[in-house]
Amino acid sequence: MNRQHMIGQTRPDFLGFGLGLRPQHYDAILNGDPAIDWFEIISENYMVPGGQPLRILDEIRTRYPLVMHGVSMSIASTSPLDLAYLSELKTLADRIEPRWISDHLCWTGVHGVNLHDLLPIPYTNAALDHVCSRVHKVQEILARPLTLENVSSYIAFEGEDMSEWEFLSALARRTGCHLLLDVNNVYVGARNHGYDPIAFLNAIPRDAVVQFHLAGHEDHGDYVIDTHDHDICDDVFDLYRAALHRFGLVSTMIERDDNIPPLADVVAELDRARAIASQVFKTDSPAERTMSYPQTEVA
Amino acid sequence: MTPVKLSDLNLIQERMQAAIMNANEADRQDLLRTLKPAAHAATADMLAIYTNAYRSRLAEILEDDLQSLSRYLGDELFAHITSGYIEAHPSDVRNARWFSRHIADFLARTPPFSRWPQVADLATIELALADAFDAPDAKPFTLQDLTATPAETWAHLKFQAHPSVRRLNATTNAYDIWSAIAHGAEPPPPVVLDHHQPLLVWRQDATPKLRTLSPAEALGLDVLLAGASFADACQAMARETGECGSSIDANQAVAWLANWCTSTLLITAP
Repeated sequence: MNRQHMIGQTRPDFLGFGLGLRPQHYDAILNGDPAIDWFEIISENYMVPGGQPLRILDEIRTRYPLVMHGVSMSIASTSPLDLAYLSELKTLADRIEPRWISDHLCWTGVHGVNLHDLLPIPYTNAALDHVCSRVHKVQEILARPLTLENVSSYIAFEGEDMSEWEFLSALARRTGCHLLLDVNNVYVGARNHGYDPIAFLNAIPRDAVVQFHLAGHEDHGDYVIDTHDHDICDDVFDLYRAALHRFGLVSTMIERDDNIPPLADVVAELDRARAIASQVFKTDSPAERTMSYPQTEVA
Repeated sequence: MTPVKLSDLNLIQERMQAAIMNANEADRQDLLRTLKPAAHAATADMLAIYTNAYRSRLAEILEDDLQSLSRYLGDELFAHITSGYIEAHPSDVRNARWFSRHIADFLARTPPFSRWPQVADLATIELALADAFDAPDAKPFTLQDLTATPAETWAHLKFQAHPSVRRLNATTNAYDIWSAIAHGAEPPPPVVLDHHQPLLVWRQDATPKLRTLSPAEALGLDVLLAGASFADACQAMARETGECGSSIDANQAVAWLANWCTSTLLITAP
């Protein structure tokens, strides 16, 4: 694969307003006609030999666009890339033809251990070189641009050369990778580290962002934990509004991983995101949801 | 300030991993020295979010995979299992789906659980059901396929197990305990059996299933799934039951074969 060719690729189409596909909602999705435009799957949940998960996925993909979202690529680890994992990921992608494949700007373990968490790195030039070289390799293996998400974090390192947003921007610029902007994670990071979330948004290149995540968190007052087990709070919806102003209409979805309510409740929350987008772009016609909306600067 | 090198990134990741996994004080202190003070909370408390999340996430995986065992033992004893297993078998899999795969062996050899063999048996049952759930797909040899086959050729039929099939031999009354828990009933007292209890786990349509087998049916199925012909399986069953004084006739053997086909246990041998 020609690396230069990938860098020049344009952003994928706007998919509308989606949800994370969760087994608790399979019946309601397959037997109803919920107002959901697309689904994001946790890739690993379907990287299994066979049975019901893949059978249901095959059915859902005939009805909805799908996006693959992984949690264990460990792109920023100093241990070698797991080629067997990447090969399995590619096999799943070949089967379900997702619109894009995402994972996180994080590491999950070293020396063969998986901590099953999305761990932050120091934002240094050396780390940037390291991650860029791995993103290039992954993009060659997957034969498409990788999409990387900003993670929630609770610690930050001394001696960093740049901010998280500068790191993400440089990574996108140097590798042609796309970005999945998790609005809740920006909010969580801003609260935990004391930065301005609007400054974060304004520093990220507009063309790089292909998807927004929205989610709930646990607010402990002095700090916030990204738990995905609560409804989305008003502050995160406000930041979402600011993100729409900055990036235009970007495929938006809600992640709910714990304390999962009935599908109708999550769809109602998704409708709130739709309503905000309609207000920002002064339309309620789904047909008009295109990337051609004017992108307005955040004041 | 000296530029941070890749070797530093490696060291930071090693220290952070060690701090998260072991709550090792020296590693934790080393790591804390490389961290910026948190905005509004103690930096050590912020680091502890990762340590706590590591243990609770892995414990949650075990609880999801071993729901019957967790109900059987209660929260306190089950927490002993999760903490012991997390220490003994840190996850080395990308996919959390397979984190629990050593749990039955761990329980069979780790006191005090090794003294209660029904505990490892229950874990074996639950892991087998989980494996059956997402085992590879394969086209089963159905009852329709059997009836479409001339009866005079059945003796020569050879099969393989559907990939979801697991044949277990319980050393205890774990099946009765599991059934009671599944039906919300009080589990019976544990019993170590004189003879193994043959069990069968498989997936029918999308649903994992579990049932007991008589020794004769277990022997016949085992022989058939090892690649022998149906006639050889019948002979083995006849020998087994002959020792017990009763005989398995051809009608019984055919009834079992029909049931195995209905249950989609079999695929055609290549």
